[in-house]
Amino acid sequence: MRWKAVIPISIILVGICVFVFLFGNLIVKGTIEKIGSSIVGAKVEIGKLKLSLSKLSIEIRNLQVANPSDYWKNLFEVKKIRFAITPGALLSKKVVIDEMTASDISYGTKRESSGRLRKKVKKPPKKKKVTEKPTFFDSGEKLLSKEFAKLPISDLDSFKEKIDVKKMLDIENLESMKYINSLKSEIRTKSDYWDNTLKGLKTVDEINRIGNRVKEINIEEVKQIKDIRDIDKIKQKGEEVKSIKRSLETIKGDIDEKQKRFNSDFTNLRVRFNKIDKIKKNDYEMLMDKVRFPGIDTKNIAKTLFGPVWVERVNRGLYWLDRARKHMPKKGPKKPKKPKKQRAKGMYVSFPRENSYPSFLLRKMFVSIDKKEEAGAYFKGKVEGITSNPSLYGKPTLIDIERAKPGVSFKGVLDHTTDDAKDSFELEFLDADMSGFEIGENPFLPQFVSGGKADIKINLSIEKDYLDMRLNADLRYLRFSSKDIAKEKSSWLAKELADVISKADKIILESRIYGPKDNLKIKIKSNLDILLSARVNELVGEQLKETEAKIRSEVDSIIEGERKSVLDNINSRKKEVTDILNMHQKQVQENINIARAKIDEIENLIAERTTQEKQRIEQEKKRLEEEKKKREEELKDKMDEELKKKLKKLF
Amino acid sequence: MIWLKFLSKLIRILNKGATPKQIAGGIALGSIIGLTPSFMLNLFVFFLILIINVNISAAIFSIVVFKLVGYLIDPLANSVGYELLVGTDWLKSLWTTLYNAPIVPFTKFNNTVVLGSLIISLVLFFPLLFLTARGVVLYRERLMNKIADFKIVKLLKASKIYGLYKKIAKLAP
Repeated sequence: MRWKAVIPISIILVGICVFVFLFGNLIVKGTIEKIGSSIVGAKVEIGKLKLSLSKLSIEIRNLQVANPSDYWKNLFEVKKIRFAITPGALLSKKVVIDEMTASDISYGTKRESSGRLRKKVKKPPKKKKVTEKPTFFDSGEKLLSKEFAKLPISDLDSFKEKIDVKKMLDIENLESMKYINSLKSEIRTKSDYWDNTLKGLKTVDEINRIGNRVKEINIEEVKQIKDIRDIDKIKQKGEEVKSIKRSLETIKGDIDEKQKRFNSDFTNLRVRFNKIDKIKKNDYEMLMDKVRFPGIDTKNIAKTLFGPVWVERVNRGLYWLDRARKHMPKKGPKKPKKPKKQRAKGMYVSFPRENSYPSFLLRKMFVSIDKKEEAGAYFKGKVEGITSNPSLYGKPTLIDIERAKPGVSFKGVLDHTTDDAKDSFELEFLDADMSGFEIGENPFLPQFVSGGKADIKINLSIEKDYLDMRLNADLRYLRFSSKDIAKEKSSWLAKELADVISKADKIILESRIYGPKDNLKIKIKSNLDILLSARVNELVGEQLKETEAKIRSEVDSIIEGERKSVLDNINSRKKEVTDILNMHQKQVQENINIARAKIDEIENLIAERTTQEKQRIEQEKKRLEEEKKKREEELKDKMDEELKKKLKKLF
Repeated sequence: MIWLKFLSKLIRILNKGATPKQIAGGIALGSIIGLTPSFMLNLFVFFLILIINVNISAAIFSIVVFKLVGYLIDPLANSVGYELLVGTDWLKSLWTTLYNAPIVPFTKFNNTVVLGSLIISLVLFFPLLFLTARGVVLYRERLMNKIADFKIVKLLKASKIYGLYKKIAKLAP
């Protein structure tokens, strides 16, 4: 044994003890401030820290945690924290605190200096992976933007503003106007077509010239042709008239065909014209939709009004809940993994901590919260079982904080003892004074409540990644400050809503935000829906009727003028074309009739001449037969005489 | 100059300043510190070196040498540690007991490299102890005089640097 070495070693040990005794406070204080700041993202400051090595206890005074979203306010402030570490457990590298007292906690207090960190805590740059799971806060933000990006009753608010119907009517974009313009264009096209078509028709003079050729054929002259041998001349004249008649009939057929097509075109134009009324009606409906507020759906009002207020508040809670859950221990022990080949670092293997303490355990923490601005608003309660290894500890973390009068209680169970972590919280306000309650930025509600009472119960449970949050609120005699209502930004609707809410003795509000982490949904139900719906409908009804009448009158005056001009145009064009065609038809028909008469006369003449010729032939035939007969008899008589003579000679 | 002094002291010790057992003890204990990357464990061994009557210069020499060796055998130590901590089922109850025992967890014994290096250093402890003691004896009997007659040693002793060193050494309190 080297005794001369024992003395220097003892001196060194004593030196270490003296150093810890002198500077231990500063070291621990600095460490807590540094680690706390890096977690919160804003300054964590300790007024005074007292470390007692003999009792292994720490006393912290004036702990201030700055709010990272408002550096001039504290997230919370604790006047005094006191705890002692169990020495036996410390030898096993475990921090076990049997009892901690945190008294005089206040929140939202003003700071004398900014809580912004001077140097940003260097963190390795986080690359946001595509596969990174969304947080409840992200989902809450999504819910806020998805459900309340455009408040449906904002239309209602703008509706009340004086509506300039004339300004609103964009004539060129009215469907009926577009239709009328297209119809006009079609009428022009058709008119051009018919102008060209009519030009292509034989003129009346031409028709008459053709007709004159018939007239020029003198029937009396034809009748002078008596000789049957000249009958072909008559037939020739007949054929000539027939040919002219055929020409006239061809012209007539052409006119008839064109008449038929014109009638068809005209009928189509009329059919299209008749559609104007229907399109005008649609235009009218469309314009009414623009000014008509989107129906005061009784299910929408409470959701629209209180949804954003509620979700925005919930989201603040979810932000801190996400952060807390991120730092909460997972169920251990971890399974050892195959070591990576890291020189000189190796791998730490964990072993079960059965019948042992977790690395960190705070058995009980007594808290007292003092809200300075409210006289007698004194919260007290305890938090049990804060640990780094809940599965080893085997008990969930319990939170129980309450205030006697007016009654507020906050209970929480954070059960991470199994793989399926389950957190549940219950916050209850009984007969809470609502005066000064900040509703927040909502264009339809006053920013602050000036009076009223409320019983509010909020239940939140998170199991794995499924959130279920319920709110039940009974709001009684809510009042708003007249200044707040009358401020410039307040619209008529905000004032009316404030009035309705103020007059209601009791407003029941039930809400539920639920769903998996990536798809939260919201439901809000309230008796306010019925109250507001009736009031708003009453207010809006009259103005709506007046506006409807204005729109109808404006649309009618614009469209009717155009409609009439189109109709006149169609009718005038119809008359023009019909007159021309009729005139042509009449002229052609007259000439056809003349030709037909002449043809009849010629054909009669031919028939007469033919009959006469037939009669003459019959007479001639008869005469010839008689002559033949006479001759035969003469010949026969002659032959008889001759025969008789010859016979006489013979005999 | 410190290294020269340290080397000179080491040669002196090797020649006649300490017993072979003291030198061997220093080398063997120093090897544990050199090989094992555990602050708490090394602090304990260092106190042992200070308290037990072993040669401190030899221990420091051993720490330096085995620190370098330690880097080389880290992969081997890691595998040995992993096999013992994870791969050997019958040892798990021992590790669990130690893991839950007071103070022991501060040694970081549950680290694969720490445990592997510790085991390797413990395995080497007794062979080092005996071989070094035997080696010092053999050196003193057979090599010490021969080395003193080496031209290079004589040259070194006759050099200005050595003379200067001796003067400075005499001036020192």
